[in-house]
Amino acid sequence: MNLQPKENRLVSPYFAFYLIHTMQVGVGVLGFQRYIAKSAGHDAWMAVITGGILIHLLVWMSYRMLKNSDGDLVAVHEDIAGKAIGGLFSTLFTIYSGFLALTVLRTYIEVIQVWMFPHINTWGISLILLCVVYYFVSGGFRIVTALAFFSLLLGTPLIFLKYFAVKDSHIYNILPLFDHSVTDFFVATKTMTLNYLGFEMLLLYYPFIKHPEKSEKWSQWGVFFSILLYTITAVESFAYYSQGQLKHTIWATLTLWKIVEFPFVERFEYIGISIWLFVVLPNICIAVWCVTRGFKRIYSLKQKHTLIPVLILIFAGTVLFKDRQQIDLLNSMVSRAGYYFIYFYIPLLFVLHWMVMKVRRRKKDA
Amino acid sequence: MPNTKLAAVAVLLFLTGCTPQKQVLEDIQLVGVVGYDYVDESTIRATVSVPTTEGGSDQAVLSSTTYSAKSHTSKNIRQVLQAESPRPFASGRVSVIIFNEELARRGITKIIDSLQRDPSVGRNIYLAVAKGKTQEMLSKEYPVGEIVPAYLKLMIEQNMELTFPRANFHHFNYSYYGKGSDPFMPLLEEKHGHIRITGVALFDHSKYVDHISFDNSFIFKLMYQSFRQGSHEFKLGKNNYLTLENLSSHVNYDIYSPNTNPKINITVDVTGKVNDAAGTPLYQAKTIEMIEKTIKKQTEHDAEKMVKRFQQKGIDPLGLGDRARSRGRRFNFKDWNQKYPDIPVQVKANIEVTQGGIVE
Amino acid sequence: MFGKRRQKKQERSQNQSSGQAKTQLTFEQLMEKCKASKDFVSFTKSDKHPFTISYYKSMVNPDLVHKDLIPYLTSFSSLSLTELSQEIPVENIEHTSDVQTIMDSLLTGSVLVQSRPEKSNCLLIPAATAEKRQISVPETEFSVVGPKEAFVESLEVNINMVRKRLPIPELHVKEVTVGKLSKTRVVFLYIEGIVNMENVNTLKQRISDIEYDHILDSTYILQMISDNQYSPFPQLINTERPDRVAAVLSEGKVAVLVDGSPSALTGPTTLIEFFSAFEDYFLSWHIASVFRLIRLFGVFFSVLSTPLYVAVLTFHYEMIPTDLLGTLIASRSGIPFPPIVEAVILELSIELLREAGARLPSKVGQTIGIVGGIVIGTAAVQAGLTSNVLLIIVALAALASFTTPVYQMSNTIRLIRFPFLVFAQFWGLLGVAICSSFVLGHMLRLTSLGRPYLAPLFPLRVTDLKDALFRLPFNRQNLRPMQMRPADPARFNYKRGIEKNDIEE
Repeated sequence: MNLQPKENRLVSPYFAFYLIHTMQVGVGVLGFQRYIAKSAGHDAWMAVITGGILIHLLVWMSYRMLKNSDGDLVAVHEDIAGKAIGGLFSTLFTIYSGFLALTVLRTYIEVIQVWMFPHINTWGISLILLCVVYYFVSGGFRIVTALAFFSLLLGTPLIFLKYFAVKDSHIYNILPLFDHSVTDFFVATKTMTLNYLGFEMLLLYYPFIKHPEKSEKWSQWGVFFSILLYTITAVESFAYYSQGQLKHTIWATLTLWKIVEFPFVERFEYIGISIWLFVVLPNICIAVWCVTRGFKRIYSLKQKHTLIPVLILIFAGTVLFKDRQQIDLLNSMVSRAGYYFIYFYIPLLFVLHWMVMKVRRRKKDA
Repeated sequence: MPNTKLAAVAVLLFLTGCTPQKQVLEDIQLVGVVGYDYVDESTIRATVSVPTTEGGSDQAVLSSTTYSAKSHTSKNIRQVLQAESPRPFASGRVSVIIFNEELARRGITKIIDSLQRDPSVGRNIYLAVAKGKTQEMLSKEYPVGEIVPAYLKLMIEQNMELTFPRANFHHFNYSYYGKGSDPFMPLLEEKHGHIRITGVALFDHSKYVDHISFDNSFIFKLMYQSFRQGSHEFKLGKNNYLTLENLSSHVNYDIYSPNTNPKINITVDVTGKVNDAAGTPLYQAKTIEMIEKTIKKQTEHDAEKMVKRFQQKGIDPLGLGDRARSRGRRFNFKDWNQKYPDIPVQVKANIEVTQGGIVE
Repeated sequence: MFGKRRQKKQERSQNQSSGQAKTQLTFEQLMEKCKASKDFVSFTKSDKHPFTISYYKSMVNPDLVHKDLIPYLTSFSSLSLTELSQEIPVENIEHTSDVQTIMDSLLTGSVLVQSRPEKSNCLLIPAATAEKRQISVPETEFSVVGPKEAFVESLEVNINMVRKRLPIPELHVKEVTVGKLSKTRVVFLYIEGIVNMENVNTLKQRISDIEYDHILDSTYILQMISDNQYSPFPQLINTERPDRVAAVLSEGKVAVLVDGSPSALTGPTTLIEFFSAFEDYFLSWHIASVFRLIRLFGVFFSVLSTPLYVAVLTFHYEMIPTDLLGTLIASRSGIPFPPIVEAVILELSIELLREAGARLPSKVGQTIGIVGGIVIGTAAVQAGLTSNVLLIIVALAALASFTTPVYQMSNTIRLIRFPFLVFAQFWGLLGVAICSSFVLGHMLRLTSLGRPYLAPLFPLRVTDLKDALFRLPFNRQNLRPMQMRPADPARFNYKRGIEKNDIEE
């Protein structure tokens, strides 16, 4: 079984920036403000920053771990728990990636259904979007990376739309600072980290980066850029909406786009949602790619053989989750899994792997 | 390879069967203005103004027509209206929503709630209160060269650039859902074959309680926001008036001890020019000083009177509570609301007259 | 995927060439075959002169035969063939008895001289006529300033035009013959020491792998050696300007010239290159950069404008600005068709006009344009069949598509807006986004001679961006594009290039 991908399949280290960043920015940006404001009110924007700093730390841990194991999560698992049990844990991780893809896709479809086409069938739009996903993922990791790159190119300019809200904003809304208790702050930080989920896919695509150890700086920049984006969005939303209004606004970012007006187009949210396809696609594609790659690594299944069944399962999933409550449930389930994964599992793995490596080195020396 | 292509084409053809519902521009009625009237306790009447065209595409003439119906809920009205319309109504191009005075006094919560939920309704649409029935106001024709929806929208829009404070649907939601401020909107009246803004309709949460006259809206705007246009007439002496044209105004709030013993200072800096001061020589430094002093005095007096009035009615269109919250930790709105009517508010106006036009 | 296909192709070609070997002719059979054609002549001047002369009347230059050949043959009648070949004032005379060579040379215009008619030992004297067109002004890639030469149908003249611009021995010209019936001479040019030999080898491999009976133009080759033959996007540039060929050769690209074709192919190329006209290099860099951006805007406008019109009018009436709403409602009122039908009708009629204009002689073609543009358009609006707003959009979109300097690309652009239209009709703006993502995915997968097609955007090569969307001044263009992985990346010494004197020096 080939552990190391071929040279011409690798991507340059700086692409880690795009891969990490696009995976963190997805449907969450469209409406995370309400959730973090629930606990920490107008101070919640600071939770965006503290949450981000924790992510920096976790990325650092992942890199230490991956550098030592010279491979991916599957290799780390094998180092620690052996092939059988390690394989089990790796399988759980791949299933989690699959659910991540499902959540993003289903939530995006919900946005389409609520904002653009109330009458559209879930299965129809899901099928066509999965066709696009198939087209990209079957092109291999380079194509998926390229998609992440173009996603940033197309998605980032949307941040400038916030300008339209500036003249109706009251910056004093985020004052006074530190008006909430530490527990409130902690809860908001926890909620916020869920938006940063997705960087952990790094654990699987790490070997596909050329000179992966050089990519750490780019990954950290990617996380930093995500923090910047989320902070700007949060501060602007808090200044633009009153806290009471924010409580009633499910998709604060989308609602903000409603006031964008150009001489040639009004009501920018329709364009915004369409462009958002390019922001959402790399999320789904990277996650789906990780699922197929995971199965290849664990069970030596060919990626082209697993891709279609995985897409069919995701398709079935999108049809299964029907209304707002179920989608919310799916979201909170996946975020909880992600929460435990990044906050408990990665540090645990980090410590275990460090110990195993130390023991081995000692054996070698002796 | 050709097989997969074929399959892809087949899937696409198959998918075309499940496309979203079409809303072709000419197959729908684009509602431009909605007017709500009070009928009785449980019934409201809605009147919509819709643009229509006559003639082929080459020499089409735009005009507008109205449909009117009454029902118990605002969504059901649509069904009733539909019964007399050639095409389905679409609410995505609503630009102005008008509430009849009586309805507004009883509260507009229900209507606001359903508007707020509809994704096709924009956030930069205007809400207004009308004296008299909106049905009558909308069904008349106005010789202004514009159809009724465009007329209303443009009229409100340009006034908000000038002396009327900015207030669209977003601002309304901001105060309506937020704590520590109350919404306001233009008050419309039909007079002499035109629709005019006669004042600022002030709300207590969802209920229309008071209004200030259009003359005073400039003073209100000075305190509400910083802006760069608009003009106001001041009395200089007996039978002697002058008009101050605002070039730039800036407002600043100082709120002392918001949690315990609040005190508010509002400072307004206005730079303006005086164009119309019949009979007063505008080239003497002394006169200018005199004018500045008079304007300052009047502005402070009018503004303080206005705030006093807000406090007496228990409404807060300036958002004093919202501003006070940002100045103190652990702010309590209940306490604030109790103290609100008696909080000392002082307005200080700094007026600077820079020009007197192009002749001396 | 392609590897496999190519492998199969190779196997097939091996089978065929071994099949050909079996049908080797004898000399007598060849003569018999040739004599079956009316334009083949074979004669002996008189008994005194033993030489037999045979040639295709249509292929040789009669002047040469009459003035430079027959007089020598008659005066040196006693010499042997070898001695004769030294006397005749023509170069490249071949002395052979190989039937295959004889056949090939006869068919390309050589004169066959034998000492005795039955003997296969003979001289082959090249005397081909060079019937060719005058070198004329480029038509599809016209430029207002700059050289006004275009390639013609003669390979020698074309190579001459390139070599004239690059008079260095490193300019290599390699020849391959392809086409079972046409025996077309295909040459590829490159500059040794600059080019990456990998590109040359890929190209050579692909050209010699071509299996087809006739190759009549370089566009045949263009399609046959494309990395993905199913793609609507051209993957090599087709140009008729020798100056452009010289310029890209010095960037480290490879050019292909085909005998009988007035255009060259250059590669590897990128998508961006299709939107750079060669005239960009004749104008100051600010102007050139703006023009490039305008062209790029033209592409987006041409592809997206009609689909966006259809999407907005069919699904998203909310987006139409208030001031435009009245105009649009008025222009759409009374039109019996939905926007998609209206759009397809107009798009098709524009394509009809273009096609009719292209097929007819140029003078009639102009009339067609005027008749179509003014008469049909106005009539359609007056009859209430289409809205005048769409008429403007479609006409502008067509205009925008013609700004693309490479003809193949402008055709592709006009073609791919039809799928966009279909998607816009079914899923509105979202459909346009979905279709764009398909196109993006397709372009990401494309390669040109194995090099990524979307470079320098992806993979991002900042140094290549100097001559992509913008064209920076020449003193900044110190590096050849990385896309080609040139053997020698430096164009000139950058330090010396930007060295500046002090104010007073």
